[in-house]
Amino acid sequence: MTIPKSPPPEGAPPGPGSDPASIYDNISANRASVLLRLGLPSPRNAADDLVDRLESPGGSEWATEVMRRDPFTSVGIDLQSLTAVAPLNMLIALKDLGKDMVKSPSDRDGYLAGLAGYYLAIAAAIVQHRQVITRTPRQELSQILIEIASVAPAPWASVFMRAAEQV
Amino acid sequence: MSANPSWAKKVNAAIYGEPRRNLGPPGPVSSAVMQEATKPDVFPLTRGTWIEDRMGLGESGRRELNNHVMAVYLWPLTVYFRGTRDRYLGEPEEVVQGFFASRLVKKDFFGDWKASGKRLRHWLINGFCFYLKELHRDKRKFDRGSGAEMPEPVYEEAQAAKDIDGVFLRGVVRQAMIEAGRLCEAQGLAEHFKIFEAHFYLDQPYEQVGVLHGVDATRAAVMARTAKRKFQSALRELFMRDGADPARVDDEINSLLRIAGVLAPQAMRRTSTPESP
Repeated sequence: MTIPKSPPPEGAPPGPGSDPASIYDNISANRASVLLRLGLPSPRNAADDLVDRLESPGGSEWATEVMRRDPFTSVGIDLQSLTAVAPLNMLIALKDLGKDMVKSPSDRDGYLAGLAGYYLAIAAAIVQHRQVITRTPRQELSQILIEIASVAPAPWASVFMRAAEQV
Repeated sequence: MSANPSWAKKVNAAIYGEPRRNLGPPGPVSSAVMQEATKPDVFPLTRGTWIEDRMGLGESGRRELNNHVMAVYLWPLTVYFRGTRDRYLGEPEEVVQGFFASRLVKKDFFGDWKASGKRLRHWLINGFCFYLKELHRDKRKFDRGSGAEMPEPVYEEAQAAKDIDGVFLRGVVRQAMIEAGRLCEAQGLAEHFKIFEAHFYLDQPYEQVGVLHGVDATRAAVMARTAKRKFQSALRELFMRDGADPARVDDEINSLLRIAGVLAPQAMRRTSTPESP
């Protein structure tokens, strides 16, 4: 590790030949405190459960499988309609049924499937109809969509990504 | 654990095979000081996870433990040493490496630490301060009186613990950044990490970072979010490797934030139900 003779300002890029990690050698207590806070659990919302499931092993397969069950089957929405065009009333129905499944889940799988339907419906409504069908504040909704987009497999990721851009 | 840097290899070589200088037993220490030095921390950690698992794995586990200590504590101890008046004892990094080579070779090092009930960083700074005294005496004895005009290193345990807490706060975050960066690079997420670093470490807004990376602000935020999760995992794992019970990592983080004078926000858990539409 290269120890600089005179400390560069915090975050200054390392000089030629120096260890790239030396960019952090001058980290200040304040900066470290800010970053340390990131290690604490942030305020959690329901979407975090969906994010956790998508991020866990087999998340990609689960995202495909979950669309073959309620609330998607009851409403008659499949992956193709979510990535193409689905009538707005169907998306609202999907969101409402998903919400019911979350509030009164039959089991853990039903709860997670309800979340998937709920958030996919909201994202698809934004992308396809430019309609925000939830009262969640837009700033918070944008963060949720970004969270899901960062872990979702394709083509879910594309739907959430575009929704985050447009909300 | 990341790949060994050259200094770690050197110290490992000293520990596991090559001849090393015998620094002799620690100098005389008063019983009062020893009693204080072995007193448990006010908030003792529950041990028994990562470190204890390795302690039961023989030499390979011990090597992992030593690598952890060297990777995480080289920088904080070096910074601590630079802040003392004992610089005449040698180049900071060499002094710290000498300390590692001297202490990590001891078979009972981690067993003794466990018995102390102390946080690892407090156990280490205690040992490091004694090591500085040994160096001073060795210098006087073997180096023809070099440093004889200098007073013996002195330290007060509570103050040393407080000092190392502040440096450790910076050190653990620094190490988590390094490890998260390496992990992201290994997983093809180097650009994600660069964006995370630019936003969270260099304070650049996503709009600006996005332009540099050819993505819009939303995409930059999504990419940073991915790297942020790696950073969070690396940070929390460092605390666990350091002896914190996984269920008490939040307490450890909050404790460090209190030490830094930062009021830690209470973690709020909202009900796991979507907002009303």
